[in-house]
Amino acid sequence: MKRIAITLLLCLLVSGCGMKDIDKRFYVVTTGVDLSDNPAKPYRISLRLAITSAKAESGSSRTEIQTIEAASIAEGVRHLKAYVDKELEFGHCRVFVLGKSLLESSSPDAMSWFARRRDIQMISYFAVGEPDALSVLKITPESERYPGNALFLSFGNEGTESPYTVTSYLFDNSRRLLEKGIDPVLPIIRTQEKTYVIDRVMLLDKKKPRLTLTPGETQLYKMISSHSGKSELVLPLEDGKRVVMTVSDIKAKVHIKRDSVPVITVKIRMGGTLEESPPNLLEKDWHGLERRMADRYSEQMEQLLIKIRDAGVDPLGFGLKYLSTYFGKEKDYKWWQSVYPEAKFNVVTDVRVRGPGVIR
Amino acid sequence: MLERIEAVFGQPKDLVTEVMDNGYTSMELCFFPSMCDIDHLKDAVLVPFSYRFDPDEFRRMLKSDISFIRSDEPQKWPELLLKGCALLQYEGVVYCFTCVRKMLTEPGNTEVEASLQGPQSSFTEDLDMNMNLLRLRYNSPTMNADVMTKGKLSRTRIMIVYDRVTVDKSSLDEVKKRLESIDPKLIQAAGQLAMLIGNARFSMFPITLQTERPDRVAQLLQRGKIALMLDGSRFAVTLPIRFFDFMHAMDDDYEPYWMGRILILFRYIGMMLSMTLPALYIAACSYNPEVFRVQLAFSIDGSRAAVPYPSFVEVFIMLFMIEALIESSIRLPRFVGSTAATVGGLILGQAAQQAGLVSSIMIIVTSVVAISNFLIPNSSFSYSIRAMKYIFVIVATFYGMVGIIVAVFLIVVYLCHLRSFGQPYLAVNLKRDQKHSSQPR
Repeated sequence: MKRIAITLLLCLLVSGCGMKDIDKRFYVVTTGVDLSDNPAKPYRISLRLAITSAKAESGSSRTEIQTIEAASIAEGVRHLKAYVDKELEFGHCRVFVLGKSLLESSSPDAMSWFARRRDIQMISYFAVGEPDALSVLKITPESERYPGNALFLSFGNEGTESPYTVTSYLFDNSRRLLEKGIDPVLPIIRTQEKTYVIDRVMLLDKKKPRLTLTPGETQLYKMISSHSGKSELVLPLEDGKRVVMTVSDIKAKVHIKRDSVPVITVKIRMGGTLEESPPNLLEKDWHGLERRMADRYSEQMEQLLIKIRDAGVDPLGFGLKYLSTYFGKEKDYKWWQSVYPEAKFNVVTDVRVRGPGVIR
Repeated sequence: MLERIEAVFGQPKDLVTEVMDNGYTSMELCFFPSMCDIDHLKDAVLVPFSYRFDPDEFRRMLKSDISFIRSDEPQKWPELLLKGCALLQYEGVVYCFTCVRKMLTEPGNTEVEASLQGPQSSFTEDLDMNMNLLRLRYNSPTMNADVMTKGKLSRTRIMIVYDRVTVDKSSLDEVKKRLESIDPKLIQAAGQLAMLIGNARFSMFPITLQTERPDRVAQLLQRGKIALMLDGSRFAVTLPIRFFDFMHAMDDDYEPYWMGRILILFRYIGMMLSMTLPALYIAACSYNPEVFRVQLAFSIDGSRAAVPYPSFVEVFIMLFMIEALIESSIRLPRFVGSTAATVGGLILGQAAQQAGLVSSIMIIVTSVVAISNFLIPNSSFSYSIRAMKYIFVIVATFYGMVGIIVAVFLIVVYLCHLRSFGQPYLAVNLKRDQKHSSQPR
């Protein structure tokens, strides 16, 4: 008995030093990294710190922004600790914003800091700030209840489920940076007075940004990449009216045919109800309408895929798909890289209109 | 006879020692009036001896009536007197007349283990009454009862009740062996007996189940358990027992099946919450705030802003307050009981938080702990869980979340190791297990 008691007492001595109360920690809610003008200290790190209060009302969120220029991100964050009174805590930093200029000029290797720190969650969101990260950090939307909450809710499916907002996670990004045949994608956060607009996406290869998609293209990209419902399909009619279908479910299947030039077949099935259309349109020609919508959608998608292909990036992972279906080795991948710029796309779309959305 | 008895007892004033003479013959009578049913004694002995005296009939009555037992051994007389018998010496022979005064004539109401729709009667503090209640419910010739007297001073009668057919023989032997080995001075309550026979000093969980419900004892007897009942306690001790029996309320068997299962599930959730929630609060507040979702983390952060000391001090303050409140509301007389609840509720609910002593989240934690502890149907088990909570709190103070996980693991290991009178404590399906394992436990 005495021995057990002594063992237990000794156990108390080996406790760690991780004890730090929740109110002694300063929560970083958004981290921004920009390129500074100073070549000796190229990184400008900005942290948006939460000032918490017991009351949570709309507009009650208060934050503080600390900025520092440093030679590397790790050094900068370490130095920033001297600027604040509480321990910096990245455990709830769910959004990382990288400045546009930073992405263009520095290699993504410097960004491995995010993936290597233990307290940064791998499910945090990554985005590009336009014009720079700091200006994104400085915005406090009126409706924000908790510090940083507006951005947390914008990404993922927790708050808004916009068809234009592509979500890019840290784990996915680091994978895409290393994996053969798939390239990273980052959403672009633009500032507009007191809110964020996240309706564009930036496609990168392993080193540099290559292409920025327009909002329309972003929606198309998101439909095929994450099979997101709640998107829309538009068909302008000859008389200037528009038919708008809300897509409630979508499935896309990719097939790659090995040939002298690979043929990438994308089969898309989607269904939904019409939200806006001229009266009595469906009764006239239900299947014809579906076909017309499908054809138009296929054409748009094909154009987008060709545009992406021509930019030399592969965010949809066709290369990875190819390697996985044909047991590709190094040689195969080289071959794929050489023929991908000429790859042919064949998009087959099947649209099902479930109804006009009203009951008569 | 009287000289012998006076030699043993001295001359206590509450002992009646008389030589009675009805003119024909005389009889020596001695008894404790406080322990004897005087009316009964009068009807059975005094009336036939005085008004309607007939020597033949009186002799015949003494010889044939089963309430008169001839007792020739003088060393047993004090014991009989103390049990509430009257001793009478007639024509040189000593008879013992059993006329014990019974305080209780009807079963009690369930107080500790109330049930909504189940039987409402409970055991009483009278052993014979309890046997009656049990026999009524378990009306089978296979029910067996052994009697034993324990306690040097209290001389408490203990009944060992079991079903001869279903009982686990090795457990029965174990119980009898342990009962024989104990030698206490006083046994006053079933819990005391349970502690004496189960080596409770080293056990964090009760290995016997105390119940005041005859229906529960009957159910357990049917499943091959043993019940110990003793005079002067309204609780029966049942054994061997499993972990899961403590979480079982009799209502579960009387309500629709799925409702019962859901309630049992809630009870387990409540037990886990009551055991780990304060510890989780410490761990999450001081070690791993990223466990919460961000919105909750910020509101805890905000509400803790006024609290000047670390989270474990806060937890200890609140837990002490709630324990004090629970303890005092058990011990306080009914009339002042409501005062404690009001004052405690006000302090715990509002003032402590406004004074900046504790955070508002901690108040919720405290009340969840207190309420969910009452979900556990058995009081001695709920005491165990209440105590376990502090182990978790200490572990969380030093090791955080990892500590809690390890502690939960260690407790499961401990429960697996625990045996209740030879039977595994954490056996999920005892019958199946016993069928599978050939080796004796």
